[in-house]
Amino acid sequence: MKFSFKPTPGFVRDMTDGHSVLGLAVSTLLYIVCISGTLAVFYNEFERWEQASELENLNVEASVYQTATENAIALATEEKEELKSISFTIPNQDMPRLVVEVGEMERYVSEDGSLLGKVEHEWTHFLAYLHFALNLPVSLGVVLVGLIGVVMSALIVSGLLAHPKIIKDAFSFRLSGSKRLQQVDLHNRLGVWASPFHLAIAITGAFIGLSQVAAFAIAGVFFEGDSEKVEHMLYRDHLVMEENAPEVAYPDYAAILATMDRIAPEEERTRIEVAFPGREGQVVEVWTRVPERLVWGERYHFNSDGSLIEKEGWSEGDTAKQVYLSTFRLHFGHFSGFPVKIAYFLLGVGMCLLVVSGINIWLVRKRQRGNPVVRLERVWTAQVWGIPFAIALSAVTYLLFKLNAAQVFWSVTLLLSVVAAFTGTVAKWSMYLRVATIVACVGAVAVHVAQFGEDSFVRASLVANSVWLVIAVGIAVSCFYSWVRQKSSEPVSLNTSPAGSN
Amino acid sequence: MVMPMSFYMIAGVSSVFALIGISLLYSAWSCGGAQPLRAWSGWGFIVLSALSWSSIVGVEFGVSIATLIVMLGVFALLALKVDWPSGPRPVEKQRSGAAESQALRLLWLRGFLRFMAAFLLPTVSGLTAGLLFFGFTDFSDTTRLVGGAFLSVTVWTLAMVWCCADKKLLRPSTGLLAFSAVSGLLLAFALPASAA
Repeated sequence: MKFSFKPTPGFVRDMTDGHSVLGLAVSTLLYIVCISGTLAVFYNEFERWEQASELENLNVEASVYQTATENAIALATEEKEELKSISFTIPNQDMPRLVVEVGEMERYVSEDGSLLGKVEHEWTHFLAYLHFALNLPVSLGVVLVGLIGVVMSALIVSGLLAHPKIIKDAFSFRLSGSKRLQQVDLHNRLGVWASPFHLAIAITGAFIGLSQVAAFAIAGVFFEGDSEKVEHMLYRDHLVMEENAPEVAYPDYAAILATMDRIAPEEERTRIEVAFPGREGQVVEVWTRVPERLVWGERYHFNSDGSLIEKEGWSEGDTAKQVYLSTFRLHFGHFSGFPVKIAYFLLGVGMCLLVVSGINIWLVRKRQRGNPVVRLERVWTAQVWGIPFAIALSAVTYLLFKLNAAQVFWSVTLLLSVVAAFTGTVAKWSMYLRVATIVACVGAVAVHVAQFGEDSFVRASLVANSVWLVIAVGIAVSCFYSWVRQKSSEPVSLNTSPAGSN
Repeated sequence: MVMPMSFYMIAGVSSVFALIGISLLYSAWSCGGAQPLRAWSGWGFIVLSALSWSSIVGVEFGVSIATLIVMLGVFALLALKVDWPSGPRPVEKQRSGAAESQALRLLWLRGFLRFMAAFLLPTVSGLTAGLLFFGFTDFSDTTRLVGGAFLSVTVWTLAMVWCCADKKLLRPSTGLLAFSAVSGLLLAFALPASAA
C-alpha cells in the first residue's frame, strides 16, 4: 500500500472494502450499542423517572446521616446484609435524592433520617447494561462491547482514509439524488463532521471496556496473575479490618462535612462511604465533583472524628491517572450540564443514522450490481426500527407489569428478525415498525402519567418523558415524509424498494 | 447554580465565533477556486471559540463544548441548505446477472478468513504492544499502565484497519504474526528486572 496525502484509487477501494467488512461484521451489535448509549445519556433522568414521586432535596443536615446510619444498620442487620460498609448518595445536581446503601439493600432517606421505600431502577439498569455489556455476563459483555469500540475506531479511521475528497465534499448533501447518493452523502457528512465525537466515544468506550483485559494481561505477565496489584496503581488500597474489632460510635458526619466545607468548598459532594461502620478503625471516604474538570471526581479519606487522612489526588498530580479518570465523563456526556447532554443525544442519534446508512449503502450497492439480498434487507429494516421499538416496549411493560426488560427486549428483537426473514416487504416493515415505535414511546409516557400523575411533568420526569415524545415526533415526521413520497412514487416501485424506506 | 451575566455573554460570543468559523469554512469550500485565507480564518474562529469557552468553563470543558457546537452547527447548516427530495423516487439502475456460485463461495471463504484475521491478530498485537510499553519504558507505574492500555487500543485499531484494507491478506497476517512473536520473545526473555 502506498500512503500519501493524495490516496490512489486502489488505496481508496481497499479502504472502502475494509470499511465494509468491518461494518457488516458488527452492524446489529454496533447499532444496539449506539441506540442504548444515546438513550443512556439521560441515565440519571431515567433513574429518577422510574420512581418519579420520591423526595428530592439538595440540602441535607449532617444529623440526618447520623440517624440514617443507625436506621440502615439496624435494618441491614435484620435483613442479614453484609455490614462491611455503608454509603450514601449525597443529593447532587445529577441525583438530588438521599440514598443509603448497605450490602444489597438500597433505601431512600427522608429529611429526618428515617428510611423510605426501596430504590428500584431496574429499567434504567437494563438500558445501561444493554449498552455496556449487551445483557451478557459482565466479564464477557464488557469485553465484547470494548471490542465493538475498537471496531468502531477502526471504522472511523478507515472511513476517513477512504474519503479522498474530504474537503471538496465537506458541505455536499444531495438528498434529492439517487438512493445510493442520498445514503452515501448522509453517511459521509455525518461521519466526517462528527468524527471528533465518534472518535472520542469509540476510543473511550474501547478503553473502558478493554482496560480489564489489559489489566489481566499485565497482571498475568508481570505480577503472577495478581490483578489487585495493577488496580492499586490507580486506586488506593482497600482497607482490611480485623475480624472482631471492638464496637465504637459511628463517624462524626458533622465534623467531616465541616472539614469538607473548609478544604474544598467549591466541589460538589456526591457520595460518602464508611468502611466497617461502628468498628474501631472505621474510615470515611467523601467523593466530589471537581468544577471545570473532566476527571470522574476527587476522593477524600477521613478518620471518624473528622480529621483528614488524605486527598487521593485524582484531579491533580499524576497525568496518566487524570487521563484515565477523564474517559468516563467524556464518554457519558456528563459534564457541563444539560446542554451537553442534549448535544450528546443529538450526536448519538447521528451515530445511529451513520450505522444505518452504512449498511444501507452496502445493500443498495448489492442491488445495483444485480445481487440483491432481499431477505437481509428485510431483516435489517426490522432491526433498524425493531430495536428502538423493543426498547420503548420494554419500558412500557416494565412500568405496567414489572416484566424483565432484558427478556422483553431480546425476545422482541429476535422475533422480529426471524419473522422478517420470511415475510413482508422492506417498505411495510419499515412503516409498521415505525408506527409501533411511536405507539410504544407515547405509551411509555401515558403509562408514566397514569402512575405518577403530575410528578410526570416536573424535574427529571419531564426530561425523560420529553425524550420519549421527541423520539415519537421525530419518527412520526419521518413516517409522514415517507408516506408522501411513497404515494407519489407508487407507480414506480412500492414493493421493490431496497433498504430505502428506513 | 446561577451564573453571572458575563458568563452568558461570553458563552454567547464564543458560540457566535464557532458559527462564524463554520460559515467561513462553508464559503471557502463551497466555491470553486481555492480560498485559503477564508479557510484559515474559519479554523481561526473555531480555535478562538474554544479559547473563549475555555476562559469561562476551563480548558477541558471549553474545547469539548466548542467542538460539540461546531459539529451541531454544521449539521444545522446542512439541514437548512439541503434540497429535500420530493415527487417520485428515481428508478434505480440495476445490473443483471449474479456471480457464479463457485466465485461466490470463494468470496465468502476469503471474507471469513479476513474476518478471522481482522479480529484475532490485531487483538494479540494490540495486547503485546501494551505489554511492551508497560515492560520496557521507564515512566511512572500509572503512566506505563494507562499509556500501555491506550497504546494497546491504538495498535489494535490500526492493525484491524490494515487487516481489512490490505488486498493481500498474507501481508498484514505475516506482519502482525511476526510482531507478536518477536514481542512475545522479548517479554519472555528480555524483560528488565525493574519492570514489575
